[in-house]
Amino acid sequence: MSKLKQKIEELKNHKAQIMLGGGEKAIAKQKDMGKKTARERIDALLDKDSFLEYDMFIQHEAREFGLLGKELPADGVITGTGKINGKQVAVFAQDFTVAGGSLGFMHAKKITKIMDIALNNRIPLIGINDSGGARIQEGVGALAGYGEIFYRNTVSSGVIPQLSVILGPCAGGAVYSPALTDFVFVVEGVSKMFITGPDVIKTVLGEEISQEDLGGARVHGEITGNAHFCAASEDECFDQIRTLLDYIPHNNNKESLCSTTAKEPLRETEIESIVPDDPKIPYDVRDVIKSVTDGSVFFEVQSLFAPNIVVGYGRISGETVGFVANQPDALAGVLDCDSADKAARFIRFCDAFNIPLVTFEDLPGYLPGVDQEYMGVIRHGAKILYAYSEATVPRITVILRKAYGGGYIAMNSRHLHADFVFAWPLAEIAVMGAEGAANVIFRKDIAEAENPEEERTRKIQEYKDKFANPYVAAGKGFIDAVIDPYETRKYLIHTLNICKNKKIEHPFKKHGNPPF
Amino acid sequence: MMIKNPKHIKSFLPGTIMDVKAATGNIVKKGDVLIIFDAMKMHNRIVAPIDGTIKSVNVKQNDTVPKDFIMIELE
Repeated sequence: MSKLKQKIEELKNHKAQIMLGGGEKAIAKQKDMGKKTARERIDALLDKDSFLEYDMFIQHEAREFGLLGKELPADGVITGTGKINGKQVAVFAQDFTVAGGSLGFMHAKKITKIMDIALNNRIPLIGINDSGGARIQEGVGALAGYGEIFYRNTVSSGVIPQLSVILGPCAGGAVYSPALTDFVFVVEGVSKMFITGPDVIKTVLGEEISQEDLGGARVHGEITGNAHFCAASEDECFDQIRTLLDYIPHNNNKESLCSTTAKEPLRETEIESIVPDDPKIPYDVRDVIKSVTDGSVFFEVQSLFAPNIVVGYGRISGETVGFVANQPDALAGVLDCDSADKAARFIRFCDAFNIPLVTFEDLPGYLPGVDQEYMGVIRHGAKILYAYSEATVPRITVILRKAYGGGYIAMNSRHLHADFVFAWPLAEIAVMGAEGAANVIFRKDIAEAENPEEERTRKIQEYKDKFANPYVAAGKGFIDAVIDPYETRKYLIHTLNICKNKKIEHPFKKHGNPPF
Repeated sequence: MMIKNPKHIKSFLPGTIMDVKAATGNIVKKGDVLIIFDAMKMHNRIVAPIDGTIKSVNVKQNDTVPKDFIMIELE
């Protein structure tokens, strides 16, 4: 055997040893928890045989508490590059079988190196989190690692898409890397995310709560809004990641927008069967979105959180469009703290990555209430105004039915410099609902009338006839056209094409100061 | 804030009960419409958040209810 052959043989054996991770026992334990190993996850997520691993031979730096001289294969995190749907990505996956996937100084170095590779080469970063937290034995070295990761998450934000996949515990400081990224994926029964765990909560506050109830997939999908996609299994989660990466560009260069062949909507849609004439009857606005997208396909983001606003991706003429739509089927489609947050973040992602925005509007306004005011609906609500106003991507609005007051302004109105605003013939664009308006304007007439109730009804009708239509706004040029609902897709295709080379330049600034 | 109890179906705003489509003892499936609730200019469909049996119905047609009123209890 030549020396080279011998060395290659040694290398193979060395690698095989490292590939075992924490060993058979730890792997069996990982499987008992219903989880794949870090390497299995990478294999399942990436295109077959596309992954190349780096920094396999990294040695940890722990010198204290019995860790000196102890082997921690790959230091508990696998990093490398590969392909998803044929497109380049950078990946790291924490290996829970090695010291609980704990983050030490070199473990963090591996992550920050792959983050640098992702940013420098403008490819998406996918982080698979499965870690018990900071490696306490390494003390402040571990904390330094987190800080370096957060810094890179922030610098990369808006340049490359960053996806965080929570496939195990992700607690304490570790949660802030996912929180800084664009999309967070969770899996039921597997993901656990919190700042302080149940034990600390019990010690400090005396409250008892399970890990699942405190920071499980449902909690982050429905209540906190930290997660964008919930799946029932790791495999379903990987499908969601692949689908998302098919819609979004791989960096913020305009050239990286990916398009497919244009398809007509599958569904022969009866608009009347989707949107009731009576503005008081709710419906599912996702059906309206599907009536205009290629193949009637819509990929929803954050479907469980703040369901009163719907956001997600579809294609029109083969190109990705970000949809924002009020959902009359949930809380009457009102804007509130959570729905404004959700929409604003989505709009800013689309703007950063050159994805045109289409807004479908049907809302009664902002949600009234002491709790909303105390929760800060003013500053949260302002986010949606900021996000739309700031966005320089093509922005098109279609008013389906109700557009009242502050809600009308907020939903990408002409006044926030939408490129095109259309309205269906049943649209009602007014400062407030007819009942409220009539009661204010005609208070005296109603009070002094012989039959106040009859007078009230008459005045409400009078206001409705005058203002509850799209023609007052169209008369002022705030609406570009009142359109036949069946021509909605035609208008969208046409105007999205008109906007292809849209160029708007805001005055120079370091950055704005949105109401975070 | 405690996690929302899916067995308590509450009014999200003050409003008027337009219609009650469930009675005590009914077995309901997640997504079944239980109440039509008029609030925010909308006849909102209030649906069962989980599968279950109706333990009590605390509203009737034309009732006006305050915010966070438990309209239906499931078990």
